[in-house]
Amino acid sequence: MVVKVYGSAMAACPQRVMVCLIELGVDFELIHVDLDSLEQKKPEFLVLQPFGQVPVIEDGDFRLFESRAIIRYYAVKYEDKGTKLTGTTLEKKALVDQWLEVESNNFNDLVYNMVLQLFVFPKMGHKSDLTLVQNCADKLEKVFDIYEQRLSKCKYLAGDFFSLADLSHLPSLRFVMNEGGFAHLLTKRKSLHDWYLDISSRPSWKKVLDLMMMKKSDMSTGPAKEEVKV
Amino acid sequence: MATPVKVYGPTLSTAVSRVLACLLEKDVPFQLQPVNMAKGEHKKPDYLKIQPFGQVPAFQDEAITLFESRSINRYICDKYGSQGNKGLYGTNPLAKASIDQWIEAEGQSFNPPSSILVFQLAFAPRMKLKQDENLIRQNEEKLKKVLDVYEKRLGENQYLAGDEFTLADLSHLPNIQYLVNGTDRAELFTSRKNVERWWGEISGRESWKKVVEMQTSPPPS
Repeated sequence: MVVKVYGSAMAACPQRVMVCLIELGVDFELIHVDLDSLEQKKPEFLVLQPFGQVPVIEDGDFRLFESRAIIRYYAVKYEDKGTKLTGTTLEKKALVDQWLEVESNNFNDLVYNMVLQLFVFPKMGHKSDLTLVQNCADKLEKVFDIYEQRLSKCKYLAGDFFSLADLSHLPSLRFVMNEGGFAHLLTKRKSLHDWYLDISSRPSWKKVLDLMMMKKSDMSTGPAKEEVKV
Repeated sequence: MATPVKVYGPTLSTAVSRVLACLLEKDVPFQLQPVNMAKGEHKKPDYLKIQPFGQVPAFQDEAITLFESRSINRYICDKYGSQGNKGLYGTNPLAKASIDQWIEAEGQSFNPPSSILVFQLAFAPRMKLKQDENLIRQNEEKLKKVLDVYEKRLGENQYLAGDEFTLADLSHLPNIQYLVNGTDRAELFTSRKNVERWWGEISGRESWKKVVEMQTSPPPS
């Protein structure tokens, strides 16, 4: 039975789950949830995810939400299948978890607020708060200074191996580098930029970008669900 | 007896107390290392070596230096699995996943609005800082929506992840402690029957009572 991932190929949190499943070699079915029409806030969806957010996964009878909980679960379940995304020792696992928490608590919200102000609010007819966007960018500079320091000492965040911690950053970094318009925050920091080029060139991430492009061009006439054979 | 682990930061910090609660649940001896935040000690080079973001807590044992309270807690549970509260982080992968789901919900949905309210309502007055009424109002509304989801969940389950107290419930203790006992917004929790029942149970645990005692007793001279 294939894992069902409810979400949109265009949204960051479902992308986090998809890139992880592809790294692990786990087949899944993406069931599109139309975020523009607020499908995720409708009663039928709230049964699956009570906070009205994507993604949520269904694996047989087992249901799980929160993208970082989902990737932690599958990375351990399939640790002998595809890429080993958690560490091989207790200490390495803890470092992966630490940097995953850093992504979640020190990095994610800054980019999320930029996305809201620059793209979501205008779509809804609200004005963007460009001062807030600049504040987020300023804070991101300080965070990136710390990442630069770390990545000048190790190839990846948790050490010398690619892990959930690096993977978790991909969706938001893609935004920052592209339509977010803040690529210079990375390009002026050599180790950080090299790290980004490395992790974003992984076949798993390229596959997610393909799904994103397919969805963009299929928006009005595309299939409701896509089975992804890894 | 094992060398006590070290926890850096003041007991009044919500994130520090999140780690202390876990250490007490797991019967892991620890030594508190004070960090004088009023004097900016957390932003000085010596501390930044341990925690480069200049935040508390940081954690050290003989094997590792770690930061981020929720990852410190997961590490403690994995390392000391066979002692103290054995089921705190689940005893099988599905249970662990459910606990992680609610730890993430705490971190992503509950913590942001509740932290802002803790700062604005409990700390700002003490620090003689002006409160931001708009910010308070916005975050109260956000928190109410989250607590409505919790109310439903806790009507179906004893605790967030199931029948037992876990890291997911524990993660909520610090912020709710301040909001219920340090501000006039207790009613956010007490007006919701299931949330109120759950809060009474989790805050009544010996481990949490000990943390509160540590927060309210004067620092050693």
